[in-house]
Amino acid sequence: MDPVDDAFLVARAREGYLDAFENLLKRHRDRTYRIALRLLGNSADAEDVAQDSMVQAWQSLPGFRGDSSFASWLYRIVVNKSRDLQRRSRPVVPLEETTAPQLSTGPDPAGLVEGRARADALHAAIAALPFDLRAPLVLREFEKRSYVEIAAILGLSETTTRGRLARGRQTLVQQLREWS
Amino acid sequence: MTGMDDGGLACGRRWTDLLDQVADRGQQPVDDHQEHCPQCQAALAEFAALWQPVHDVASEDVRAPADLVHGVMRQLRDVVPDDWYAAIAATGGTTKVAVRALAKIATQAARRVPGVVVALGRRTDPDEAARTERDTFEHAAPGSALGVAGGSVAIDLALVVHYGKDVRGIAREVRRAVRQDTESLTGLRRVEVNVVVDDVVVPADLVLPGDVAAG
Repeated sequence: MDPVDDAFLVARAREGYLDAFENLLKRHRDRTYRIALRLLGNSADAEDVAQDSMVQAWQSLPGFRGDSSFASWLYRIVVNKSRDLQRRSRPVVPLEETTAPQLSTGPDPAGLVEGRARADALHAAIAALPFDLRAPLVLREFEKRSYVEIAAILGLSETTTRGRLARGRQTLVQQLREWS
Repeated sequence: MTGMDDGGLACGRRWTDLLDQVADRGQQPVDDHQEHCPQCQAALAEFAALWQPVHDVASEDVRAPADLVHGVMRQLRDVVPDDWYAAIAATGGTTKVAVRALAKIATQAARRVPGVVVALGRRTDPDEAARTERDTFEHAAPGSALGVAGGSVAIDLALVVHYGKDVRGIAREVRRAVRQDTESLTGLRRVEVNVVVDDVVVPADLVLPGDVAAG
């Protein structure tokens, strides 16, 4: 276990200890990057967003009141930056226009090709989800955050969060079923 | 099939509830009805199979690129003005050492001192440095002001130490270790180290039941 908690490092970072902030970033870098990766679907955009989010966190630190954990606050920045990037870079592709990924046809002794194809199908189906359904799904299914924490990260009520998560799951499973 | 179009199974259960169940807790039936209902069991099995790629992707070990934090810190150091240098005159030229480099040397030295759990460094606040300069008449010798280009440097160190250790002794040892390292690594002889002991870590086995764990 880490000898000091995030709140201690946040307090020191606010006093100008850049060291303390670097420690915080090292603690949360993997999850920060992973959330961006699952939201955006490619590593180049994910790296940009993760980096921008961390810089933004430093700049916004004086306004961080500690109402939520530092982690939730940072992930919220990541989600917002991912949404912004997506809005700027490409129009939303309607679900009907997406094409099913090629499923395995050749010999597949270890089942690896099929597994890969199913993962590709999943990523395509997630990318096709509207952002507001995708964000709770990513935080829940891949990051295993609690409903309460997801609601805090997204700035939504818990009821709205649950509703969006359920709709995201339904859309996703219907798409996966059509492609299977 | 599971009746995904009309929202309900033949038995009256909603498929959306079963899907949430599979996603959150897995395929196991959760009540007596599900134990004995073929429609529910078929739906649970189908959703479990469809949901498997989600579990597979979730269990992938994805790490941030190795230089991510490094890149951020480089950007921040551009944003946070850090143009202080300690200058070391030598024959044939002058060596300048950035204060943040000295802070790094200082934190490394402090972390080696027994009893120190965490050491964080920063340059001393400019106002503070100016005050110290005024109080110590350093301005009488131009160029030697604390932190500013010159031969002397002031560094703040925030420490977290182990519970039960002699805090003053640790602070003294940290100052000594930092002076020694900065001197031997940079040649700077006038290093002021302000030590702030910010917290004390209590070993887990000393925390009494009922105490709020820090962490």
